[in-house]
Amino acid sequence: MARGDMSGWLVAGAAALLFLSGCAAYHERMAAVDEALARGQVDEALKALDADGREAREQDYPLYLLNRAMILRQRGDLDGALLALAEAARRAEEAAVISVSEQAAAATVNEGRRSYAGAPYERRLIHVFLALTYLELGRLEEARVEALQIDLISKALAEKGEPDDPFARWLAGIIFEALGEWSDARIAYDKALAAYTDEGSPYALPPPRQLQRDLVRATRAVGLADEARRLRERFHLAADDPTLDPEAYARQGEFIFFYLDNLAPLWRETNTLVQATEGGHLVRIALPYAVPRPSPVERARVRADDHEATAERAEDIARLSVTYLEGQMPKLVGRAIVRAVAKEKAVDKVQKEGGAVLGLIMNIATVASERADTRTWSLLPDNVRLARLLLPPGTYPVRVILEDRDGRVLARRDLGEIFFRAGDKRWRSFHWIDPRIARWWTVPPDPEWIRIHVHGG
Amino acid sequence: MNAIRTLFTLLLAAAVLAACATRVERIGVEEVRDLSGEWNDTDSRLVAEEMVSDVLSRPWLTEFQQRTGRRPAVIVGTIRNLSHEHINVTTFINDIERELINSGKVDFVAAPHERGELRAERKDQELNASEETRKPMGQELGADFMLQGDISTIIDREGKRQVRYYQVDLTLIDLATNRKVWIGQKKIKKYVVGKSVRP
Repeated sequence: MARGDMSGWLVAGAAALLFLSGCAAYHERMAAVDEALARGQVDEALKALDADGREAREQDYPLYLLNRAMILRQRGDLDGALLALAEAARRAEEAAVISVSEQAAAATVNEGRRSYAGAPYERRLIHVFLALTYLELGRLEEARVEALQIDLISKALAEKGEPDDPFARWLAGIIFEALGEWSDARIAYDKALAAYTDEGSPYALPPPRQLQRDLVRATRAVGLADEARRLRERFHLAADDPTLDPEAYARQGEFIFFYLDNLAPLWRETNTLVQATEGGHLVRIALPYAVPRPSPVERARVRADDHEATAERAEDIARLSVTYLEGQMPKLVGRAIVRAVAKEKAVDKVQKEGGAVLGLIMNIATVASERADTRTWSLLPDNVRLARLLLPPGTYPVRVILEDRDGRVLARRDLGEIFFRAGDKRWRSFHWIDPRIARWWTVPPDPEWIRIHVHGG
Repeated sequence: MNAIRTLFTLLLAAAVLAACATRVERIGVEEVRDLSGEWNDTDSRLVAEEMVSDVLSRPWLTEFQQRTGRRPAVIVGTIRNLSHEHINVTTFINDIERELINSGKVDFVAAPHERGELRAERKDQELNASEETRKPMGQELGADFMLQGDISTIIDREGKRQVRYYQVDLTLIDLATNRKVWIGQKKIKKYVVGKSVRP
């Protein structure tokens, strides 16, 4: 090939690398959205997200929709949130199929060239949030469809070794119970309890007391009195606890409250030098690291007149995010090193055959194109808590109170006057975002984390 | 040189494949085209046609006609979606209503949500329409039978392969006696193999 032809190819290649590398990383683009949400300016957050979404690449569109759904929920536009979540679910499922062109781009440019399919826990949470949104709209039958979808996706994920999600199962049980389908409710509650106590699972948590009561009640409802008694004794629940009796339960109204706490971890980018096995030289690689954003909320209480319940921790999404990323690190590091070595060789060749200037251009292009894939559904909450408040028929002003560990009130939210007849169930959620969320934007990676995950301990 | 050529080829392929445009083509409404394997318009139409054809060929119809000397009035009640999918049950109900009405063998009564609007119109006519054209209240045709049912699914899935089994159960109930006069069932089974690779 003539030297002139070569130069054209090389410049085009460098330009393509730069073009395909994209602009600002996801975590940088989300800063304006987070900031607006922390200030309580939901419309501003939506504007910032939509501005970014208009320029979003096709590959990032599912993530844009997921984040949009969370903002629309904050805004009270539940129908809009449903549309966004349903479309995101469809696109994420499509994106989960391997793409030849995206694999090629990811191998040569960066990991972010792949379509966003979401982590397994996120793909299941899409159905959880669809179910929750249908419930808040009072569309119980459609929430039931999502409960079945949760079962379906859980089975598919289990085939790939992903543990069961207890909160998703618990929510499915609540839906079945509301429809009077006690047998399905009991099975779902039972699976939830098993998943909470699955040692080694990132979903494991101390089983909520409410879930234990739900399981005993459902077991009684299907006529397994002895089994219900055994469970009640195992959980140390009082024999005269009225919430264990399905008939007494049905004579009350019920307020089912979901507290969504702060925001899920942000994935930021860190650049580090590692020694490549091949050739032994040092190469620069960009990797994502998780920055959890825990909130100061210790207790989320829901109160209706003198009736009160404290929401119990049902899902630790922060832990799911961190664990998932840690599990991905060996693959990410390996692929980043291969990519870095290939890019370095390409620069070397260009320099030799095209001269110093072209070599420099190619070098800039390869460095600029190396970006960590920091995409994650970051507008999910850090954790989810759940309370079920039984109320005698009547009208109640319902209020949410958030407190820190010293009992100081961090926020109060009136959810309005709600009317309950016997057997009525009302579902509501409240997503609170720490006004000081910005403090997490600049957290550097823990050097120990780099030592373990990048340099192999 | 080979490494660079490979790199550029891959980049070029990525750029070209990423640029595939949307294509739209009009197709006939009767044309069967399964895309995802989910419940679609064809399933809705075929199930409605077959089940209505079945219900109209059963003894309850002639028995009713012999007993009363008129066509039975039917109303469609709740058809529950117990499936894994967000099936548009309204479309299915509309398909059943159309088949029943077009058969000419039964009279059809408006659904509760439609009746509200009709009653409001009659009330309005009492005030505003001329006496000759006014439609009086209390002359509605009461339904003799109600059609109820559900759509349920069983999905067996392994990796990219799945068998989707749909079952539609409909029951026709005599409103006067609560007697079930007809039970119909239609099953659809689909074998779906998902894509294992995208361009």
